Amino acid sequence: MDLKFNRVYPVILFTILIISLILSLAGIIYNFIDPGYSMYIMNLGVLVLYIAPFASISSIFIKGVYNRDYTLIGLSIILLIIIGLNMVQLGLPSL
Amino acid sequence: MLSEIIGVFIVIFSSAVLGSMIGVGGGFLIVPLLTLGLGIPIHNAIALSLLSIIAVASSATITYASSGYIDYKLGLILETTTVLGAFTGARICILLSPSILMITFGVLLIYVGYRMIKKIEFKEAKLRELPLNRLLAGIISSFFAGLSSGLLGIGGGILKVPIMVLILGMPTRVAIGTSEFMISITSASGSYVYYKAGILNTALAGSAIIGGFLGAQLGSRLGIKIRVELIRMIFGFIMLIFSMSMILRGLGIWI
Repeated sequence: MDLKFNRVYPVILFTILIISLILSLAGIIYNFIDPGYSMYIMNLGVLVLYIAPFASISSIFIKGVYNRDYTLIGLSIILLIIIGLNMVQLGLPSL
Repeated sequence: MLSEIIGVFIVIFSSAVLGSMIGVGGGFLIVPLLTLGLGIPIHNAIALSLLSIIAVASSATITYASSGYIDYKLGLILETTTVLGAFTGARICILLSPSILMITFGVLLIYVGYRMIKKIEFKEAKLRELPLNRLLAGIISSFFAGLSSGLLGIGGGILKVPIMVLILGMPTRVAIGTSEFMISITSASGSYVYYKAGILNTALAGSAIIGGFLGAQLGSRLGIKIRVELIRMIFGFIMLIFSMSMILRGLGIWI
């Protein structure tokens, strides 16, 4: 499972980074056409980047479930709760 | 606006290349360059730096995860307090005046510069089992690593790696990999506070993300091929110059 995880996890992270990168680039290019709409696209790029840590923690959670590693499951849930509560307190993201 | 976008891209790209070559995030270069070089207010510079560090650290995490150099369990244990530190640090930063932030950043840069010039090799504390008191010490000190990250817009690897090697007895390579994994989460947490406070300039965010990602990719490849000792020394001296400039600027003396 560890070998499989070491292959799958980087792919997930890379995909999120690439999507964020493409949206950021599109936002910059669109800045010349419609600056208002470009802000919307760049904002989306930033929000996609914020998904990366959640994807990391969720991947580790799944790894914990698969390996029946309850420490890993517990830790990832605690971390998700800490980040989630802080985000709710600050206000959830919106476009 | 276009000149600002290009300026931010150049600063973050070059900082990420240099930082990745010598194994740090680059936040120590990004904030002073954006503030002193481009005249961006320090709060905005910190927000942009943290955003680009998410891209830099995630990019490095990809490499370390494929090689199996990340201790996820210990990383998650330490990250629980690091994240709390990052949220707290970012909230404190918003309340602080730019001059206090500049002086604090300048003082921290002296330590970083010194460490770059006089390369300190950490002796791994080889432990068969991790004693509870060491683990607790690691957890508590991680909070302060997170605090400095959220407060000053740095990754915090310069503090996390020594904690993991000296206190927790991790092998250096695993400590660096785990630190990068942690930084990607810490910087996102700190950055979110700035985003919600409206301090993150979304118009410049795109170039920060692109610059950070591309710079990290190029820097990590160059770092393998080039002897980085000289670059490390130069980097250290630049840090010391920046530290003086930041402190003087914080005191209201413009040079």
